[in-house]
Amino acid sequence: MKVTIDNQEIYVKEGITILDAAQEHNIYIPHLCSHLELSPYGGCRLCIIEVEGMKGYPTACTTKVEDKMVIRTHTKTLQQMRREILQLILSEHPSACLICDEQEECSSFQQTIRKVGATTGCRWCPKDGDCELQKVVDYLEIDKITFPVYYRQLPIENHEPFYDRDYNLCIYCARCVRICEEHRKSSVISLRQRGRFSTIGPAFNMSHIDAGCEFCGACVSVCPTGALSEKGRKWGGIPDSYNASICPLCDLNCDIQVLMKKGKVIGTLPPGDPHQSGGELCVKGRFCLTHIINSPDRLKEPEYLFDEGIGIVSWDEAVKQAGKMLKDVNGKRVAVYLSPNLTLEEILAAKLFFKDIINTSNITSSILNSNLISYISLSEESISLKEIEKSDCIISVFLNGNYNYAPLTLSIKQKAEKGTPYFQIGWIKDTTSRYAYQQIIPFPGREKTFFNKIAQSIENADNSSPEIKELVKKIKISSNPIFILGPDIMGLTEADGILKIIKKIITLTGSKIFLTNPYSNLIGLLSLIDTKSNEEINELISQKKIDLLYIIGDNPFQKRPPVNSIICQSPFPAPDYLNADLALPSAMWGEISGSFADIKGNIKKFKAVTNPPGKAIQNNEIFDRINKEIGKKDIKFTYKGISKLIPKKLEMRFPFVKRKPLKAKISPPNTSFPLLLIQEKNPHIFYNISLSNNIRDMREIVTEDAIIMNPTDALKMEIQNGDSIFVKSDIYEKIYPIIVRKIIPQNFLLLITSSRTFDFNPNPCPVHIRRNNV
Amino acid sequence: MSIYRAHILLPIDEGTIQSGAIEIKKELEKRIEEENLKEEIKILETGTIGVIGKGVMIVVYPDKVTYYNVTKTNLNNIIQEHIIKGRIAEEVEHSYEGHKPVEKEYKNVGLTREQQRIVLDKCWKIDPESIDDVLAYGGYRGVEKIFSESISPEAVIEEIKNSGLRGRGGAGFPTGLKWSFTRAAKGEEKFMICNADEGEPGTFKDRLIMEGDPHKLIEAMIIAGYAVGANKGYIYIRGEYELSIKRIQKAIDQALEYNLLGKNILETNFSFYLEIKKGAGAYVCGEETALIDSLEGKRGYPRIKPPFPANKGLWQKPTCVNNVETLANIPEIIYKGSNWFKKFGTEKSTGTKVFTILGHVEYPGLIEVEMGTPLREIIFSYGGGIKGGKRFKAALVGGSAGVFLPERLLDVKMDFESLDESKAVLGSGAILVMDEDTDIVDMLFSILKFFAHESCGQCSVCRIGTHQLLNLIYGIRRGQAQEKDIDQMVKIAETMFDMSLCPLGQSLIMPVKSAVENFRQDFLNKIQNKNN
Ligand SMILES: Cc1cc2nc3c(=O)[nH]c(=O)nc-3n(C[C@H](O)[C@H](O)[C@H](O)COP(=O)(O)O)c2cc1C
Ligand code: SF4
Ligand code: SF4
Ligand code: SF4
Ligand code: SF4
Ligand code: FES
Repeated sequence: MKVTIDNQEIYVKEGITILDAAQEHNIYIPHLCSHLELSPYGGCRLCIIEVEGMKGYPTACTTKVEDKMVIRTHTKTLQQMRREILQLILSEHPSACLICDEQEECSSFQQTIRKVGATTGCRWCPKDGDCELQKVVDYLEIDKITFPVYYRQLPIENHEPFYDRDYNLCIYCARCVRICEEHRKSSVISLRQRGRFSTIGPAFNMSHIDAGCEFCGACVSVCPTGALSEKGRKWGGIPDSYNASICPLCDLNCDIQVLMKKGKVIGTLPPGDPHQSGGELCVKGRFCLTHIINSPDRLKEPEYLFDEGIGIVSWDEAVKQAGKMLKDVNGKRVAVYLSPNLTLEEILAAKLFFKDIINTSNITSSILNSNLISYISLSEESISLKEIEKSDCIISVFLNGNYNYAPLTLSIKQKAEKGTPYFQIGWIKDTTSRYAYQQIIPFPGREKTFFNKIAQSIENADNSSPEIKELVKKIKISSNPIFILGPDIMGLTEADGILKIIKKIITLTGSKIFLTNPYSNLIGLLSLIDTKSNEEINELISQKKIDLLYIIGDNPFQKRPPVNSIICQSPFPAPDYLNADLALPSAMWGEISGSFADIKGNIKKFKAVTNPPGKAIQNNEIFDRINKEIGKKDIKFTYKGISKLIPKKLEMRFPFVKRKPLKAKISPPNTSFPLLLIQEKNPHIFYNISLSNNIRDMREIVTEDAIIMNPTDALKMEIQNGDSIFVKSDIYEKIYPIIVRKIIPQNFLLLITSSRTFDFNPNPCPVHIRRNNV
Repeated sequence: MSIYRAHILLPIDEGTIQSGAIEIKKELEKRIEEENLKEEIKILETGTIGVIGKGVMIVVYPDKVTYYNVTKTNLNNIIQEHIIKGRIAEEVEHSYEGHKPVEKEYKNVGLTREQQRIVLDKCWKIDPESIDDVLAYGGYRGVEKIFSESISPEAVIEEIKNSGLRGRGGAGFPTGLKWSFTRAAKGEEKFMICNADEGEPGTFKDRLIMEGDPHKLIEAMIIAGYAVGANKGYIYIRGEYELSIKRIQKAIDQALEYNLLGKNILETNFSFYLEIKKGAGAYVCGEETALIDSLEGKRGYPRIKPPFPANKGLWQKPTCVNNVETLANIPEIIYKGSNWFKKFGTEKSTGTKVFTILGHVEYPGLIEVEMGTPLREIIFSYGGGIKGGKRFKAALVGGSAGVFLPERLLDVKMDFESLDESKAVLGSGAILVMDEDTDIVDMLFSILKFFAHESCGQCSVCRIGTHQLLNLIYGIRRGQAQEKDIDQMVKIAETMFDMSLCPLGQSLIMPVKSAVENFRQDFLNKIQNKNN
């Protein structure tokens, strides 16, 4: 249809707003609260316009275009009124950065004779230079405020992880509230109270953590002011480039953009307009990546274990030592551990290096145990993320979507909101729980029986519990049910049995399956190399059949195993207890180009955006150098040479596993051990480090080696956050700190472990607890 | 059926209950028993008579004498003098109906002066908790007429249109037209909502209508629902109005019992269900779209219009929202016809209007008079004049977002057009009278405080504008201001008028501008006082 904006005739689509129409034709109308991805709000009132035949001054962001509309956007009256509004806004917004006399000097010398704290918003506002309010002020040429100005004196909220909140800078555009609710489907924050006492935050003054914040950072991205700011990027300034990449922190490998300044990664964002995109990242892709790549704990120089102790050596020296250890070694007595975070190019190089040059077939990864293999074998039936859209019944099984798998949890929430029944089977309350048609907690300590009941109930009508009946009924009437499995299953003692039943259920009902896994390139690893299981290699080590361990980015041991020498090659130092003979610093994501494979064998590529720190070099280059040193074969390991060899189609091959009969006896809680302890291996692992351990803020939301307890239980037992308690099963006991959180139901305890093996057996394990010192 | 010599009416509303009406009733019953008058005197509980702040009241019929501030002690006096001896108990404060107003002879006339009652016609005559009483007094005649004469919804709307009835909730929108929008809107399911949120401070007309004659509202809702094509209605009542809620609920239950509500009303194929929703008490929730949000269980924020509720209201379905008083006119219009209704009021503002008179008058309370009655008559005749014989200074007309009228505008006629000519509004029908000792700055201050508190915070102009107005008037009251601050206030209010999202922010211009224009000296006094 045709509309006239400021005497200019333009043709626009039906149904769009006047603001969108103007923007499409590069006509700028000042606006602060409108946002592309969000419903119109009409709060800031800056986008007022005149429309012939309409009374008053409608807002462009809320008024739809109509055929033959005549619109004026820049009359004198309008501009004057906009100035009025903006002055009103500024009268309660620290405005030193906007209209201060010393603005010029301040920006060039970054100092002012006035002693104004950073929080009052002079040149030191974290959004300075990147602030939408500043832009509008510039545009409307405001240089004084005629109203009394005041400071709202709201407390600055900086005690929660990842982002700070200074609502003194807030203009109540509610973009944060809307993006959290409409786009992220989390509804953590809302506008509270009224009028001049309006505030933004979770209901009942809960902390963001308790209110279920995912720390996805969407609200921070869309905030037009400095009210919400990323702790890690607060003073980073304006990036000088935005580079496309993918996130390596789980196998969904989300698309991201990497923000660079002077060659340094200063942040990561979802793709799209940096101020508009709510994105689909989780806390890891949004906030953790920057921390990791800039971690002060990176291994920056090669280290060698001399008789006197560890010493820093040059690469030449390091390569010489590696050569010595590898040159005449018997390949059969070498074992290799590879991280599932290595790229396809690195894995292929490792394959050539170890199979062809070192002549070993003892290649594994610390995660390749029998349970993982049963789990990942199901991937043959796995669908891709997009196909969840077509489902008409979703069942998640032991999925812990907290701080994880955001695109997946988002599509579950979206589907459930539109009415697709969503069943959540498992103990943990996560961001999807609010949308669950039913959350079903399997009979404690009888998990396998529980799944058996479901299978039986599908085969013939029976006397199972009402919730199972409802579940089965819903699955049966659906044409496209999907089971989404979480990696927590792998930690259960009966995992293998449960997975077999699930497979049966899936076959019986014609369901599809979606497997989540926290390892960015596990599929690539299993597709490019014939691996052995972790158990098999461990057995060789304990039988003293291994002389040399070569560990690349992996962390398989709790203490030094009985071998002659250990080479560790990783972006991060090997744990001290390992006493590695040689540590070689390698480059990681961001510093290398490469590719990952997803569950369907599709390959996703990404490029290097920066250089590795210190003397760290790419894994492939390390292979190249050592190969030259031992000089056996003429193979090019560099990225260029290798990338051509990657097959177009990837197909997984699984290591052979000998399954031992279950030793641990599974039992439900009883009067002596009334609580059920669930142990979960921290899934937030990257190379040989844990994000929780490496990033302080991550530690706050995913705390390792602490017991998480339901508030009601805690109240009953008079236990408080931070208390230390004794946890005792019939054969083991240990002291842990307590965290009180609603994510676990009553009569359950959750323990997220840093180690690969669990202290309590079996898992889940009936325990009882008492306070330490009582 | 026995015939009584006299009826003693005991108005029961929240005000009188608080003053001890229940105990007085017990005492009265005891005394009548003691005096052996049970056969002669009938005691009747009624709804409000429209007077407030006068403690427990009783009305003796057929003499139509109202006694105020009745206590156990002076009750005896009333019984001895009036009931037994048949003459007015002069020692007890009282007034009686039937006086024609005589200039200057205002005393003892007060609110019980003959009024033209349509909305309040049954209040004070019936027991509001008895549907039989209501039916005996002509309740539900409108509904009966529609169904017995098979009047079509379109004809009902036409009748209302012809009556010229305009909304009494503030905006004065023609009711028939509003109904026709909802009727014409596409959609299977439609809703009828009665706005009984009455958030305006100092306004209590809707409460007294609901307490005094709840069935009238039920009847009106049935007619409205029938006309707009809704089968479900909600009455959104302010949570504090416990007695209203109780009485409306009782009325709904009784109407259901008599098949005046529910499935197939009076064996027709029209079904209508009514439900009460309690409001949470925010002023802005009285705004129709915020009210709809609140009904949906959300926090009440005004919505952006268009779309209007007539097209996308409750659950995005066509919805009609009307005020209690608007609706209370409906049954009589239907029963007696729009031409009858048009006889009252002025040409463009037909019918009557219920006013609440408060402040420095002798008889604060509720009256119903024809549209177009001069303000002077309302204050000096019905209100009994300024308390203590003081001079009139101003009247805030139309509620807190109303206009401060000075003495020179006392003769303004109280109807939509005349007020509009004087740049004033009818608003909620509240009239706050101020005597010569009142300071307009203080009055405006309390209004601004109210608005700063009630602004929902959604849009910037209103959120910050209300706060800034408060800042400025703080300064003026403390004598820390300059003359330009006075004009600054008007400017902010003007900005808010032009640019606020909803009428709450837009309406502040009324009190601010009228206060400054008509009573500038009060502001200057404040500023100068402290400056020297
Ligand atoms: C801030 C604000 C508060 C309002 N409060 C009320 C109220 O308490 N009661 C009411 O009937 N209308 C109130 N209104 C008016 C309603 O929005 C609406 O116009 C009215 O209910 C329509 O009914 P009517 O057409 O019968 O007048 C208010 C409007 C605004 C802007
Ligand atoms: S970080 Fe994400 S989940 Fe948390 S409040 Fe912001 S938008 Fe909501
Ligand atoms: S915190 Fe930012 S996004 Fe949220 S309302 Fe305030 S200014 Fe807007
Ligand atoms: S969901 Fe996975 S890939 Fe996406 S941001 Fe989070 S960790 Fe990265
Ligand atoms: S004008 Fe005031 S009450 Fe109305 S939407 Fe704006 S802030 Fe809310
Ligand atoms: S952008 Fe339109 S009102 Fe804020």
